[in-house]
Amino acid sequence: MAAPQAPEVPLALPDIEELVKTLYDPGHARKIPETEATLRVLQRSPQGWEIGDALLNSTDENVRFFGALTLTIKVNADSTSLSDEESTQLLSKLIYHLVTRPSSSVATRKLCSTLAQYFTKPISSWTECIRSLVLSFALQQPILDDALEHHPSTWDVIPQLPDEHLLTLLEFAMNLADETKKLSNNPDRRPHERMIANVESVEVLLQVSFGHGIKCLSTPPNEPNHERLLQVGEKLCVASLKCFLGWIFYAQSEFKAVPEKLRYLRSITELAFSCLEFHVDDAMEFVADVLEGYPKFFDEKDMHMLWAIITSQWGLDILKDLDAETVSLARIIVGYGTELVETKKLYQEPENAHYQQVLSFLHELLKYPEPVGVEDEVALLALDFWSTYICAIAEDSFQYSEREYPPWFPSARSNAFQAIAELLRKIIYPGAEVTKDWDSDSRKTFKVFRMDVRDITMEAFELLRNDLTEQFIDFSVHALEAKQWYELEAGLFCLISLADALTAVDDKLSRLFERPLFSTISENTDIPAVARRTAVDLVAAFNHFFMRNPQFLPQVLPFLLGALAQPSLAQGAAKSFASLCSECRKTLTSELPSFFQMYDQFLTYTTAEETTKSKVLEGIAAIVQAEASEEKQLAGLQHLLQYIAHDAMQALNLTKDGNDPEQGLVLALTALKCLSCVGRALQASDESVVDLDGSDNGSIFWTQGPGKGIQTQILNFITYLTQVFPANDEIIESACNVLRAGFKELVPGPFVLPPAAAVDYITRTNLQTPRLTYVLETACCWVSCHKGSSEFEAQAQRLLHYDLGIMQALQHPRNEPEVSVGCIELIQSFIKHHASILKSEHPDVLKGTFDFSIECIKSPEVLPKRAAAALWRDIIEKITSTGTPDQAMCQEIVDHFGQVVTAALIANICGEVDASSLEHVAIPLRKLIQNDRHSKAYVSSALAEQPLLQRVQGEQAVQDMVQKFTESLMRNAKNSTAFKEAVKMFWQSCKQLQMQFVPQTVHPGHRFNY
Amino acid sequence: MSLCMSRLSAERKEWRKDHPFGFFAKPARNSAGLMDLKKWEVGVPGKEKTIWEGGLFKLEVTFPDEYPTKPPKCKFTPPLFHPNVYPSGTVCLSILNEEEGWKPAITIKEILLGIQSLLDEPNPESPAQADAFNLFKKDKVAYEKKIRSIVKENPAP
Repeated sequence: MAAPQAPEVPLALPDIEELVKTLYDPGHARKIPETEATLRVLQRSPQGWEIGDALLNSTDENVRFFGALTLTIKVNADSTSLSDEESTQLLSKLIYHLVTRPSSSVATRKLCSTLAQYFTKPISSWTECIRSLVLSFALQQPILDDALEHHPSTWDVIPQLPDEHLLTLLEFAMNLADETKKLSNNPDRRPHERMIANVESVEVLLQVSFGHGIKCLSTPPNEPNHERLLQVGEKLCVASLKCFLGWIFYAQSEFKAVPEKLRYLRSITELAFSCLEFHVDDAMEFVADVLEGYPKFFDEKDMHMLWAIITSQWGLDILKDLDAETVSLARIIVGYGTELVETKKLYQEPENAHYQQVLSFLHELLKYPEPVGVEDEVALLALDFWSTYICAIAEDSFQYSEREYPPWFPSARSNAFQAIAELLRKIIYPGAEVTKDWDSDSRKTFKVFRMDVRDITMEAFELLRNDLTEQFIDFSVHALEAKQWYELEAGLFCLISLADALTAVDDKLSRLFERPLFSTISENTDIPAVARRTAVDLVAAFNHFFMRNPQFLPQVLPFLLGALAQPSLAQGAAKSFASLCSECRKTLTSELPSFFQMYDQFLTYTTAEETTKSKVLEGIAAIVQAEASEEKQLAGLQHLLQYIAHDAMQALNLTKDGNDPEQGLVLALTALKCLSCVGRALQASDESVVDLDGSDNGSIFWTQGPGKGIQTQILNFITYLTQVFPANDEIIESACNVLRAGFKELVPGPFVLPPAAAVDYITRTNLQTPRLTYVLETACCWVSCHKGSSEFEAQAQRLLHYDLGIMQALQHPRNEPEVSVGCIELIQSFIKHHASILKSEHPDVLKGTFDFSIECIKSPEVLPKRAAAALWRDIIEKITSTGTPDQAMCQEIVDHFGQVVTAALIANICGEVDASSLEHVAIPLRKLIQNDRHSKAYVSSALAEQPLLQRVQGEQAVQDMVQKFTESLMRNAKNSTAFKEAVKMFWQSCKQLQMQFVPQTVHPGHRFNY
Repeated sequence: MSLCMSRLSAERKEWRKDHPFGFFAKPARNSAGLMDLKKWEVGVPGKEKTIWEGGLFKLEVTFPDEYPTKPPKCKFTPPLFHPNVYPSGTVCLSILNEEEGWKPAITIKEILLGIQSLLDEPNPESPAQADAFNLFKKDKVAYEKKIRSIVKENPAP
């Protein structure tokens, strides 16, 4: 068996045995790594075969185990090098070691696995392995395939074997199934053919083992050996079940060509089932595993037999009270039911008494009183079943229109309805006295269960529609009247899951909401927090209902303001308050004074901080916006700004004196955040009619009239707070948000500030300003919103110079790539909205600007590159808007910079650009080719100047490629897909050239840019 | 049923059977209350023990007719402040890119888990918005503070 030039065994065998022993000896912990390393080398050495064999002769089980392990390693690593003769020799040795010492030790189990692995190898000369092993056990010597026919039949031999041998045979047969199944993707079918040849022997083995095991288990208690026999029986049955399961799943994947052979396995099923009633360990798991993994293995007769067992006294006893066995049996019932759903029988044959009984068992599984999460695991299983059931029916029912539902539908529907009612009871919180002892896992299990129930409820709604809605409403109403708060919570929780779908049932919902639901919850202090929270969620979910039915708001809004007191509810309540006030502002103006009172109350809560304050003020401001006159709005606003001014003043005081600058910052942020939320709320709502011809837009109330003070105040807030905190990113962002609140308004308003105001603010910022990117974004918004203003040109000019100043300060886009993006985008908005504004600029200034944009295209930074490409796309597109001043300006720009831009774009396409930006770069090039008659010359000269292409100038193939590319660009400029394709192909070729000739020219910034 | 629709209905079943904690994904309903299998509303929670923990971020997932040959488009609604989210809200993630990591075998669960990982592990190699990317690069403290305030505005239930 030795390989050529094998060195001698480096250690004598007794020494190796000693080494193995030290490995398992607790006294040598420090030496273990070293010992392991030595042994590993020995195991893998060419002498591994001999070492393994020799160690298996030891009397020490650890040493034998190590021997078997060594041979397993060799079989897996080196078996291909064995000759036929060596292979047979190895097999004989393995069998010899197994049959002469069949104790139930780890070494024996390892040997079984070694033999099974040997069986799967191409060098294996073993086919009828089970019969061979049976005879070897019987004769206590290896009997291989060639000698099998001279012996009695397996049927005659197995019953004579002692239990110990049976157990080892079962262990081997189980390993055999597991190991051979691992080869299921192997194109070589030979191991499977050899495997299948054993199925009849396995049948005999299992028949005998199960038979003997069950016989032992059935011994009457008065027999002398009763206890021992029970143990033997249990052992045999457990091993048989494991082996059987292995073969069933092997058959599932490999018996496809020989389905008739399944009968050898199916003949065992009844024996396996009988283990159930003896409470054999794993018997229920066995049945559940098969039902879940390969339910078709059980034929109809088996299924009936199984059901008879489930419904026998044995089953009923298990189901009576909840314990671990109940969970196992529930798995079987759920598996059983699920298989019947798969075949559709369970719901399509409602008259069938058997199916009715199955369904009633499945309903019962949801009725254990113990709470889900800690004790009731059965409900989790049953939930899976009902989910499958409801989804199957929902899917089936899609085929039918409402009027022609099939006859089975009503009964299926009523089962679904009943299941939801049962699940509804299971999601009720068990009360604080129970949940206080739950750990986080239990809480999570319960929460996930509720979420899953919510999902099923949504699914069931497709089938049950109004019936389901009414069920939840009735349940909630009843719980409210009975003051059962946890039940109420569950009812509302389920209603929330339907909220999106309930569009035309306001009358039904009113049945619940016209009751004092929210006031009851507000007033009762003993209501559990979770019910309060669900009620807040309910308001958010039924936002649209309350918008359609504002008559309920006087109950809802105070409830929300009350909920603000609780930290866990404050955020959600404030959010719902803001959105309801905003949507129903017109109906609420008369409530304004009481809302101000409630706000004063709210300010005394610890929950009054930035987000809650800003949301509540946003809600109140929306009502102010709905006031009928500017005077009334002014009064409301003055009230609102008092709150904000209070925070702002405090912020300034705290910071100025150096008392508590941190708290000062918090309050400054609060003031600005509230201000921007108020500003947003004061935007004219979409539905209000806007007089577009401008006849009524001339109100000067806010700019020069009585409201002017408000605008001054707003600007002062911004100025002072940004001066005190010039380096704070959030202050800058919030200040921008206040300014932006008025940008999009079409009519004058308190936040519609003079155009110069925002420009004043923006032009005060510089490269040191944090969030300059956001400021530049604000500048872009300003341009697009003020283009129609009479002051536009003058103010835009200021912004333009500011932008140029930033670019100059930047020098190169790489210094601040993201700020460069903002600069380019601002130029882009000028081009888009008023390109001619550039006309009055000095040529040097323009050159600076567009050179910067071209640097962006050349830069490896993706964002500036894409932004600059988009800018040039817009410039070139403008050339086509003939006769406009913008067109003339853009034409001039293109005439001036066309060549340089083309060169930059082409350089990108010649391999410089990253894959994801390629498309962006191709667009302006295509536009240029479409619209500029010089483009061909630009492209050709740009290509000629590319260093990469210059290096391979001499190659005809490259020249052809370049020429073909140029032609393809020109030809396909009108076809965006073909153009893109041509660019991509050329880019790929250039990438290859880069790799091939000058890998070092790949821009370092590109290496990871994919 | 088209390949796209049958795959989506299988995905829906699979999701119902097994989905990670805190996520949601369901076909959207139109104004008439009818379901549209090709447009899903999904929610991705921030990972535990990250600055995103406690937030739930909503996205719109739109499946093209060529799905699963082509990837779906995932868009945060409203757009999210994150280096790898375009100003439009569209997520920039290699497994969602047809020419990069997309494979038809990728499930909705995997996509959403991918998006969840992206939240706390932005990819500086493929920025998609200047604002968030800039803050992320320049001022980690301010970035993390900003993320915390976004989490507060989008709390998980």
